[in-house]
Formats: sequence, C-alpha cells, structure tokens
Amino acid sequence: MSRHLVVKLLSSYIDQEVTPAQLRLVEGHLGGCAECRRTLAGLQAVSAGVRRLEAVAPPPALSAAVERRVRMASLEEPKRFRLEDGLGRWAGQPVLAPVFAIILALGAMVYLFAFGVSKSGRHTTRLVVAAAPDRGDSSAGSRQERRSGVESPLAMTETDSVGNRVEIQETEELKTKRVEAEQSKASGSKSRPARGAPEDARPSGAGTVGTAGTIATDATIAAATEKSSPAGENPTARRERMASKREVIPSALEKVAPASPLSAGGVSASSTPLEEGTKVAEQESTTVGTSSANDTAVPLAGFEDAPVVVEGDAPTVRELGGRRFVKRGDLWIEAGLGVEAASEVLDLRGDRDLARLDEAISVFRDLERVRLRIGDRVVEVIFPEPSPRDK
Amino acid sequence: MAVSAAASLRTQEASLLERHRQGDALAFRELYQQFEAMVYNLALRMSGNPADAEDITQETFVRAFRHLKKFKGRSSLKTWVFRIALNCSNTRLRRRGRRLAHRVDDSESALDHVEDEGRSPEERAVAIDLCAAVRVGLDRLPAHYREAVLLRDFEELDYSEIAEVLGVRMGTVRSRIARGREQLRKALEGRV
Repeated sequence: MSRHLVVKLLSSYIDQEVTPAQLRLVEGHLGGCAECRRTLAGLQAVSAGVRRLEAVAPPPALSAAVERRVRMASLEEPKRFRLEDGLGRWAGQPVLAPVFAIILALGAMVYLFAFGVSKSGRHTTRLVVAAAPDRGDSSAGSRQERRSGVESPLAMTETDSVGNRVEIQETEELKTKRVEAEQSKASGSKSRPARGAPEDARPSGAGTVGTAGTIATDATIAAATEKSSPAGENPTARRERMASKREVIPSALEKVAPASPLSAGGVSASSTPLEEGTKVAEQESTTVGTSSANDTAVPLAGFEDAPVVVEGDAPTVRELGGRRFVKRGDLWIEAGLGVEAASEVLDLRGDRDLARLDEAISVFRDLERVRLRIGDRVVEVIFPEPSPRDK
Repeated sequence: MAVSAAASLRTQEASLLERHRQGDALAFRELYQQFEAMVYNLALRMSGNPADAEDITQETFVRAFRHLKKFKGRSSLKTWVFRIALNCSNTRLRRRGRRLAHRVDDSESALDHVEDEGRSPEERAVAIDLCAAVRVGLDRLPAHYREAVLLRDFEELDYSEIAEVLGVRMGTVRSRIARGREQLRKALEGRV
C-alpha cells in the first residue's frame, strides 16, 4: 500500500509554497493516487470557499465612531507624558502590596512590548526580571549558554513574601550577571546574586523572587553593581557593556519587600516614594547608554530537565515542583494564571488597568520591554529578544 | 512583491509615520482609511458577527493610534495593524469563553457574500449554501487555525507576512493553515 501525502504538503502545494523537489514529489504522487487527489480537491475547495467570502463594507457609522474614540484617546494622554514615553496614567489605585516583577499572563501569554526609545539617559530604572531561582543549579551556566543560542530564557512565576505571584524571566544581561556573580561567588565573595536566595528567602519571608534582581533605582543598582561585580570590573565598564546591548527606558520604582539577604547581594531591593516615581515619570525619556546595570541573574535550575507532560498539538507543558508551566511563544508561564487571577494577586484594579495591559501586549508582542503603570507606580520589565519558536 | 514596490510602500509608510509624529492628524486618518475594510472584515470573520466586528475594529484603531508613535517599522504597517486586529479579536473571543456569538438572525449571512457572477438561481443557491457552510466551518475552527486560514485565503497574505503577523515561524504558519483547511475539509465533506 503506497503512502499518502501529508496534508501539510498538499496545503503548501495549493499555496505554491513548496520547493521544486516537493513539487515534483506531489505531482508525481498525485498522478497515481486517487485518494490524495480527492484530499487535494477538498482542500482546494475549502480554500476557495474562504477566498470567495465576500468582503463586507464596514457600516457607514463605523468611521465616525472610530474617530470619536481616537479623539478621546488623544485627550487621555496626559500632557506631561510625552507619547514617546508610553502610556498615560492609569486610573488605578496605589498598589499597596509590594510588587516587583510584574508580568501578567494575559490569556496565558506573556507579551513583550516597549514604550518607545528613551532619549535622555538620566534615570534608568529597570525592573530586571530574574528567573525563578529556587532550584540551585550549578549547571545553570552551561544551560544558559545553550539557551542563549537556542531558546529564550525561561519565565516562571514565583510567589513573593506577601503572596504575590510574579512572573520572571531571565534576560541576557541577567545571564551575564549571573555568570559573573557565580564567578565572584566561587571566589568567595560575600555579595552574591539572588541565585538560590529566593528559595531561602521565601520560607523566611525575607526576600522574594521579585526582589531577585527586579526593580531598582539607579542608586541601588549602582550599589548592587559594585557589590556583585567581579573584582576588576567597574560599574562604568559594566554600564557601557550593558548599555551597548540595551536601550533603557525610565520608570518609577516599585516598593519592594522588606530587606532580604538578597539586597546585599546585588539585588536591588529598595522602595521609592511615589514622588520619586512621579518625578521619574515626568522626566524626559533618557538616552541610551547611561543606565547602570542592575541585573542580577538567577538561574533557572532544573527547568530544562523538568518532565514534559504534554506535547504535540497541545502547548508543551512541563511540571516542576508540583507546578505546571506552559510554553507560550518564547516564554514559560505558570499554567492557570490568567489575567483575572493575576489581577487579583497583583492588585490591579478595574477593567481599565486590564484593558491597558491587554492593549499594550497586543500591540507590541514582539518587543523587548514592558512598562506598566499600576496605580501610582510604574514598573518596567525587560525581556530578552524573543526567538520565534515553531510549535 | 517587487522590490521597488515594497520599497515605495515603505517610503509611504515612513512618511505617514513621520507626519503622525509631527502631529499631523490627517496622517492617522489616512491609515484608518487604508485599513478600515481590511480590519473590519477580519474582525467579522474572526468574531462571527457584525456587532463584535465593529467593536473590534474600533478597539484596533484606538490601539493603533495610541501606539503608532512607537511603531518601529520592523514590519509593515499592514502586518502591524493585522496583528492588533487579531489580538483584539482573540481577546474578545476569550472574554466570550471562546465561543463565537452567532447571530440569531442569519439572513444577513451568505447573501452578502456571494456575488451574482451571472449564475443561475440554482447555482447561486448552491453557492450560498456552500458559503454558509464554509462560514460555519470557519467559526468552528480553533482561533489560531482560523486566523491562519483567514490571513492566507481571505486576506491573501503570503506565508512570510502571516508569520510576521502571528509572530511565529513559517513552519508554524504552514501547519496551522494546513490543519485549519483539513478541519474545514472534513467538516464540509460531502458538500465540497
């Protein structure tokens, strides 16, 4: 019994998206296989059926409605907030609970988007997302090496000391920092990155994954940098190195958890008053190059080896520590954490906050940063370059 | 697309963007006029009903307006707008619990979508019937297959453009289109 052509090939053939070799194969096979000819005819028919769906003229009132809404939208932009800087102020209430790395799994997908290019370089406060760290893994370095070439760093959620779930992801910078930090740790330095710390921190409640290299002021960044940098590298060099990789977008700070062992170790855990946040937000966007590196890497230990429980057509799911992580695009997010759940956890208020997030995510899915304003706080999260993955 | 045509398109887009950034309100209107029908139809096919399609269209252009200044030109404006439209559609689908809101009155349906083309009444009836079947079949596809099939067969984007819109690899585009079509084919077996 001869084999039949797979649908994927026949479908590509319909669209003339086949190589010459594939073309020969298909046409050669079709000549002698009635069943494949029937399948092809069926695929062509549905394709034609969809093509023949007539385009419908939009209702006449629609353009007026859009214009109204667009006009309203333009009024919503606060004057002090240049459009290049990002979203207007949200109507949310201040977030009371400490919240750091905030990635919301909207519909189980983490989105990346950026709010423009910073033009001035003054206050570069960055929320650096660290990877879920609670599995100490000395092989993280090699995994990161592999990962950087093959796959984006992972994102996982953790629960911080006050029960907030935060989603974190390791960036290239984090990786670099982590490698450095490991080196310095290996050399006996006291200032260590957050690696492994969250696991320690969590039970004691003294630190959170969120603090593991998340939001920080320049000052604390600098301090952290100083402490965690390997001997010989000065902050300027680090800044320049980091800056060459990334643009930086100013953002206000997020209040972080109470002092944790991480703060000494290069994790920027500082609280900032709202005024500072406001001030930052009011500043002109800053140019590239002056942001100091605040990245503290936390390795994702063991995740790559976590058993895959579902694969194939369904999104890949891995189970680790009793929690399930789902691959969405380039990132892993904890399964079941929808935006509604996240909004409760993160104390977002109201449809408008969610709508803003949703919007930003939908627009800039492929970009590198997200800056969120939640209540009176602005949080910025940095992701690595996404690499499209085939499903 | 010929290189020169693509280049000229990019120049037009760049000019529109620049004018928008300079505060030229008409620039956005141009963008709207250019893409209004495209967005509305995609939204209609994704959502299954005109009311949702209108909302999705409005939302799409409001988002586009809000973020146009940050558009970096990595993709064409068209694929960017498509992407927003699809995301708005999918958001709406999610909020509806992934079920499309089908019109109660289906009379608007296929009649609008089948041209006369000089057919006999019988031919038209068959065409309408098939058209309705295709629409129902489309509505029943999982959203990510539906959007791939629509972008290919309805919007006639090529595979690389679809990959850009969806943010996936070509291989993924290929398989989603194929699976969508196969599901349609099976659903319509006997009628196509």
